[in-house]
Amino acid sequence: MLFRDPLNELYRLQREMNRLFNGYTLREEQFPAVNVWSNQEDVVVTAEIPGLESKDINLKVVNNHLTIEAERKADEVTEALYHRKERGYGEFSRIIELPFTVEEDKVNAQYKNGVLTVTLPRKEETKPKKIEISVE
Amino acid sequence: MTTENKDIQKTETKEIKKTELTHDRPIFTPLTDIYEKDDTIWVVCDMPGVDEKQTEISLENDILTVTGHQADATKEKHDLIHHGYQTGIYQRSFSITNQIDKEKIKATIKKGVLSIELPKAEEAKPKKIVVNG
Repeated sequence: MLFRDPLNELYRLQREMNRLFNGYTLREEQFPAVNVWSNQEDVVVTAEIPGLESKDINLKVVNNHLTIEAERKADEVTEALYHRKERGYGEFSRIIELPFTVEEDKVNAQYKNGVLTVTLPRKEETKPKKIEISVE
Repeated sequence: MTTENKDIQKTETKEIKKTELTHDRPIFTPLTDIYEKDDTIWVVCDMPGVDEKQTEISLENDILTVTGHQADATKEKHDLIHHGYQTGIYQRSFSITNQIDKEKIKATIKKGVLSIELPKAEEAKPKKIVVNG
């Protein structure tokens, strides 16, 4: 018999509910998995992609879309006997929709310990403006 | 009279003793490659978000246990608007036989990839036998 892990079902339900309330959704099940954080000033995208060379990571920003592209190369191991091979390798590309348009020239990206962190400042014109209320 | 011969069956130990960590973070199993080359066994684990200070490798009773604590990824000034993955603790154990020279085990972690070098002990290396004519 195949049992569905009840916790997974709960998480999935929670995500579905969050989607309904946030109005911000990303297509699930793409590689790499990302976390997206945001506030009024900027949006931060993080992804876990170990074993890459920083220079091999390609980031592109167009309006409110961020593209992360890279190739994870297999370890150069010759004449070895593999007992277990679980780690993946190959090319990947993912387009992430951002909650607002960003300043393309001010994007900052860091790759540390296999975690990619991209910080994208919000475009000035899209920032909410405070409207002064004058009191008679 | 013949007596029935019953094969003595070896039963596998079903019970796996699991040592629990005293953290409430989720525990992940790192994806691992294991390969053997030039009298050395390599164990390579993917552990993004972990640096050398957060990695523990212990060897006890021929069991090699690898633990890596991922850096806390919560951001105080931001709201999480899409949750694709969790962060927690990586842990995995491997049984090491006497074939390994335990004194010479080395490990390095770089870019979230941990590489453990396990050289085979002298006795375990294949010996060339000279044939005299």
